Amino acid sequence: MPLTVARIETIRTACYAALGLTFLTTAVWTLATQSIPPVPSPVYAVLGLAVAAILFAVSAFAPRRAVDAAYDEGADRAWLRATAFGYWVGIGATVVLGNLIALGRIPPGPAFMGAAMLMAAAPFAHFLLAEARRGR
Amino acid sequence: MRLVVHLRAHRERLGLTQAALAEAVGVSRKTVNTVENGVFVPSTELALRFARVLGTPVEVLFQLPD
Repeated sequence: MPLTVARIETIRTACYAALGLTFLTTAVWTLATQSIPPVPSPVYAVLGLAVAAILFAVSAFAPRRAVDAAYDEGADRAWLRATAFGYWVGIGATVVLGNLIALGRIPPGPAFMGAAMLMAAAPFAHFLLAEARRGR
Repeated sequence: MRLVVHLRAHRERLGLTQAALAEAVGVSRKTVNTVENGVFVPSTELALRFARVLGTPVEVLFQLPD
């Protein structure tokens, strides 16, 4: 099965969706329960490394021209905007959760983890929505 | 400022699909779609590649609004 541009994009979408959903679910769970999830922290590292390995392998084995097309300047710009969005989500989460900590409404640990996970999830969510729009 | 983009008309004149143009230029179909819809302004290099593939001067494909 040849790795076409569309297939590379689909694999990237699946990988980013897995990361984004994991981070978002963790953020929601952490903030809703105000406690750190009972998931060993290396799980997140393993997931991230697995996604990196998959994307690296796909790029290594797919035809160079298809990889270049899948990661063209349109995709670059979508990712750039997604990371900018993540930056502002991080600022917003820090401000909101910092104030909630100051008011004694949430413990610092879950607040920090929730903010970090929101910031981590935001670029993937933004990129996936942008990719869906770009395809129309 | 938005560019006036005539990419779609010139592509269709040659009977090319977005996918075929994308393949010829070396980008994804999504990028061709966003350029045609004016959502994404391509780099000078990509604009020149579109022009070369379509056999049209780049200033015919992309124009500044009056």
